[in-house]
Amino acid sequence: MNSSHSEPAWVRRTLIGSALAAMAVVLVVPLVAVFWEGLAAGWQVYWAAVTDPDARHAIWLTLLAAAISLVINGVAGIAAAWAIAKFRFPGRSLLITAIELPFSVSPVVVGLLFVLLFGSHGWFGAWLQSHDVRVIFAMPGIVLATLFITFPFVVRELLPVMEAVGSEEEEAARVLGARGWQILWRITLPNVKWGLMYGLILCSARAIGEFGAVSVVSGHIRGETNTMPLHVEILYNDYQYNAAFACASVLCLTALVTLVLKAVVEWRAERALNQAKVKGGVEA
Amino acid sequence: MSITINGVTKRFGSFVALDNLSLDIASGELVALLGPSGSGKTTLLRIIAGLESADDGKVLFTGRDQTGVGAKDRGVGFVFQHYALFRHMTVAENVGFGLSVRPKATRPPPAVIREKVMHLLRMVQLDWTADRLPHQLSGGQRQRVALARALAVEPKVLLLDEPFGALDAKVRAELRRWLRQLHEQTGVTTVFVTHDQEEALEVADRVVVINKGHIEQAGSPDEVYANPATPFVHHFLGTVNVFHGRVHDSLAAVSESDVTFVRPHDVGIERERDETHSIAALVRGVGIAGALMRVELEREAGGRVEALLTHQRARQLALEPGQRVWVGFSEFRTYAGDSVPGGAVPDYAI
Repeated sequence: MNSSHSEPAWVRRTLIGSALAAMAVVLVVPLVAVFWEGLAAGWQVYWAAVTDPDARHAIWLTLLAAAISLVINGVAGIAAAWAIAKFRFPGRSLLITAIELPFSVSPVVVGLLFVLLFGSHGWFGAWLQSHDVRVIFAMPGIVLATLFITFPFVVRELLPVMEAVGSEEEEAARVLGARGWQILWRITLPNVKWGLMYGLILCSARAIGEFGAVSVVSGHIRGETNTMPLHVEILYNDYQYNAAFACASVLCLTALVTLVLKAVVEWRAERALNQAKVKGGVEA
Repeated sequence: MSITINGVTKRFGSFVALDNLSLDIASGELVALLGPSGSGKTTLLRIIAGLESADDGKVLFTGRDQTGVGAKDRGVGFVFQHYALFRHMTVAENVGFGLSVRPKATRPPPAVIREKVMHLLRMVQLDWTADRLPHQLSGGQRQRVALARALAVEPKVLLLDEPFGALDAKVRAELRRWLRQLHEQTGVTTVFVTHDQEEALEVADRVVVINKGHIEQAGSPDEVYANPATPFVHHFLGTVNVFHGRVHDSLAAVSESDVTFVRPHDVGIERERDETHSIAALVRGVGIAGALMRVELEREAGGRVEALLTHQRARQLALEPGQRVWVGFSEFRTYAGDSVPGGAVPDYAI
């Protein structure tokens, strides 16, 4: 507590107390309730709900979509952040704004957008149908929607880190004879690895939890195009509350795991930053 | 390896950083590019290294055109002002980097690399830091590691961009002497950029004074200091007293269009008027300037004059503030008024 804060103790206690109370009501109680409801009918029901073939398929599909998003958005994010951080070109600020677009568009609109493009009555629908390719109400549509929604995370985390690191080390490597790939693997990526990890963690959390956009493009075919969040919704609408909450608790577990990972990465990144600051300090 | 810079021009938008600049650097020479910030000296160094490309003109290494040869293939060593050490690698990994990124066919085995790294680290007296990370070293140590790293690839040319600019005065002086020694040992053609005239004069075989993208003068330290070709060089290489007028028989006679420069150590002071000391002035202040004494004077005709005397001479004169003395100039140089860049020259005396 900083001594320059002049508010009396009771003000501070009230503020902190109400913040904690709000957090308990909004975050902790629902989280506990999810596990409570999931386990209310006993471990057997819980286990049966989670290992049900439809549920297993939903888990698999969710993880697959997340994994594809991680790889593609990781690579594309590194490329985009590198280009934006190291070069000045016309349209640069427009590109930065465009990258944030998925954050500002409602996920449902994103889903509709893909239906409009690839649905059977969409722009490319006839062409896709004639080539026997299904995008909407199939796995590709789900992956596309997830990709679109999670694209900004890696770039947003990498951009400030890359700008802070600067280009001098890369130039030094180049003069020493390193080729482009060597510079990327041995200089650029190690310097931004914590930012990259953080971006990837956020990306995977969002990919696993995405509902709106995926809901529009998936078609809710059980055992085929249902992801975990959609599966939970279907179970709930079928009045299978215990099963719904059991599956929801699996989603919560993945969220808790990413939360812990995120905390670890943040801690490591902060330490790396402090070391970088010491390095930048003027001493002789 | 000799370097030839042939009519190099570089623009950044509408700003002309280098304006049709040509320079020859002989093999084994130690050359300083000296100029104020924004003069284009760093841009020139980066063009030699291949980190920037010239809009016009050529850079040749021993007669071979380097246009189209990338920085990684030029075989130069480059030392950055802020060291640019790889922060996540140990000191030894930093120094060995240039060897370890070579294609398999020419890459030495790890043991040989380690051997060479330790040899270089011993040379810069930092072998005990081999397994540390850069952030655990002081600025001076980091810059020595950066030098060892640049030398590890046995460059034919060593380029240094304000290498000692971020260090404190004492470390800077030490590293200057050390760079000079290193050059004598290795004989590598070396070009370093600096805005510090003292550093340039002390270290280099030849000083190239650059201003606004062109060369004002190139010559030995003695030559550029004693015989400045332009008012800019005269002023940039050390402090000057500036008189608007022409000096006749050590009298500042007014001839408005001309400008006379006098270095403070060329200002003589006598208690009695004589043939060569005929300008009346009052002592305003006396202070120590390292090995010399600095005397601030004010001419009775108006305007300030700065003089540097030996401590012995100052004791002899026993100067006191407010005292009346006679001033003369042992060396001075008068330039036609229109050749003096406006703004670049502060007026000590009018």
